[in-house]
Amino acid sequence: MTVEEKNRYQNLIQAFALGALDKDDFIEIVHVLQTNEDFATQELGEYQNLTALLVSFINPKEVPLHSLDRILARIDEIGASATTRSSDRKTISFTKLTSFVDETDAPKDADAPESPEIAGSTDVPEVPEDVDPYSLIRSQQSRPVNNRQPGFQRPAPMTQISARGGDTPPRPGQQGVPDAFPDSSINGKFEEGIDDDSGLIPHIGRQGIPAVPEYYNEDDVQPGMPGTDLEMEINEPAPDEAPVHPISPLRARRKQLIEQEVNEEPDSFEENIEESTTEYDDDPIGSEKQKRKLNPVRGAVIDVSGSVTATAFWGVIGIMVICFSIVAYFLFSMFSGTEERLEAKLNELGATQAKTELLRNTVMMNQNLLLFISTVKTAGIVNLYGTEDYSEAFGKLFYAVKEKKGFLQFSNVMSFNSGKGFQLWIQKDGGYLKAGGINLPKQNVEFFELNDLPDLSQTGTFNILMTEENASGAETPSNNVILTGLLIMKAQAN
Amino acid sequence: MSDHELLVKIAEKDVEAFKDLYKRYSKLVYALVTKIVEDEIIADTTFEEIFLIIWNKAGKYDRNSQNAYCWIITLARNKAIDTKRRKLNSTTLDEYTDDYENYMVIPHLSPHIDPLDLEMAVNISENIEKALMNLTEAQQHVIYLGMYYGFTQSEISKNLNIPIQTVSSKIRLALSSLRDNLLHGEA
Repeated sequence: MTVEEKNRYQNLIQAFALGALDKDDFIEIVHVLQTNEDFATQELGEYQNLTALLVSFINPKEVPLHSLDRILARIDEIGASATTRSSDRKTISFTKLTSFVDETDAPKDADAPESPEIAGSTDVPEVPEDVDPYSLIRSQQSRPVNNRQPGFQRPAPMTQISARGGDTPPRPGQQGVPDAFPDSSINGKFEEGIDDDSGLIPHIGRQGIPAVPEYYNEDDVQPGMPGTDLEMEINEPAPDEAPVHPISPLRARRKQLIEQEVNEEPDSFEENIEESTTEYDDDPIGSEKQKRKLNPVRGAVIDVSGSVTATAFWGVIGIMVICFSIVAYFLFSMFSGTEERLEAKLNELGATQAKTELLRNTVMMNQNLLLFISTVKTAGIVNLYGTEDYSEAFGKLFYAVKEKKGFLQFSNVMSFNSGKGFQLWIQKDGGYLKAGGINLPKQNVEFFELNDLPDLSQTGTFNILMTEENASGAETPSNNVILTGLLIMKAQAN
Repeated sequence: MSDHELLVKIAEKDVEAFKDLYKRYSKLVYALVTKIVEDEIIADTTFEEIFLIIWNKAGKYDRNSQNAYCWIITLARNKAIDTKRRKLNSTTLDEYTDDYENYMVIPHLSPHIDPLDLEMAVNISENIEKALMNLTEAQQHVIYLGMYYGFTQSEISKNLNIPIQTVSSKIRLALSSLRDNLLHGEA
């Protein structure tokens, strides 16, 4: 951490403790707090305690009746939903090969967000222990269900196609199910080829059954076309019911199917395509579409016609990739450059506008000041300096003793709020006298003229204060002093 | 049982500990929430949500800090301010997710914070109030805007039409003065 960074973070500590940091600064400080040992944690701790203590003198307030009961009821709901979480239904999109990996592998946080709204609205039916957890899936398979688990996103429209195809035909060549399935009845059904668990197994590259490609348009799905069951819900068994297995049975099965597809020889794949497409003879449109979808994926690599060789194909692909990269690079550089130029232009414009405002204000002030100086016989000047709270502020008081008029110019003094004004005071004879009336601050106007100044014709030293007062004015100066100065008068000078 | 011990037990899902903590903190938290949120109905809901967060996220409390007071009060303030911001300007805020809650609502306390509990806080509350009164009106105003209005520095700057650097300097000076007043017994 550089010294500059350290100073910057040091300056943000108080606002962080107060909760007043803007988002970017907040993120930066949290990051530094968590990663950097040089961060002033001791000081931060003091300020965090301090801001928390500011709450301590608020008058305690009676809480609404039954609040605790309601909270406890919601806690009970959360607890109940947590116990049934293992049998919560999940919607898994089989159109995404990797989606299930993320969903099932995602570690369940012990402090999972038991959002009250979510907990309150969960209507997952409790499943008795003696009921086959998979049977519920099968009975509800054709019904689209929104996933209600916290952190889950609503499935994309493509993945919400639900059970359009109706019954899935038997899967030719289907191998036996791994013994890992907890329910022996399911194993039996697999072995016997009973298909009432259709949809439980993903239709991805399954031998003999054409898969519906991920990019398959929903509108293109033909009624009655097999293999269109793209979504299903699964009730996983409770963890204690699950067999000891490094991955879940479903994932094991799916993994097996994927590996099976990957390991297939290209020739057998071609044959499979032939076999699978023959099933669409009754549905020529679906068959043709299916062929068109499948051929570009694999057919282009092994071209039986001999018109395009694999080398040429990959060569073209390579050239396209290179061209695309070059175009993307140029576009990126062009846009990034544009953004910087635009930002620079905006900054320039902003700076120009600010300069114009300042210039206009300065011109106006100079005119008034010149007018003041030219209309009084003798003018004096007192330098005013900002107090601790307004350390960046400074000003000048031009005064004319004979005319009892003054002209106050100041810089870097904020107009703190709309209900406040500035008041000049001159200390005389042990007390403070008002020097002119209250002056309400205006945007970008950093001067005001004063009339009816106290008599300064005597020799002496006068303290001058500019304070912030209520717009209605004040009889004595408040403790919010903005500028101070010292006026030393010599009577003979006048 | 101390606040710290209660919070540790809540992290272990002890309902009795939760009830005890609720008894101790509910009035103060409710007063804070109503002061920030202002709308009574929303304040009631927010208040209940705060205690639900305490129940759910007590595991995120740093046991080494032994500072349950600061954790609970900061959490309550963060949640109430977040609710208020959503009420005023719901479109510009991020979606309220669990990650968001963990990052923006659960306090990021310093690992070197001194221990503090409600009893200690109440005992020195008078001194705090006096120290606060010793600040200038402007300093008090800035603290108030950040603390109860939930304004960020840039929002204060925009609201008061003053440079953000000035706001930053005001906040710095205000809290430094407050700390010095307390440390040196000037309150």
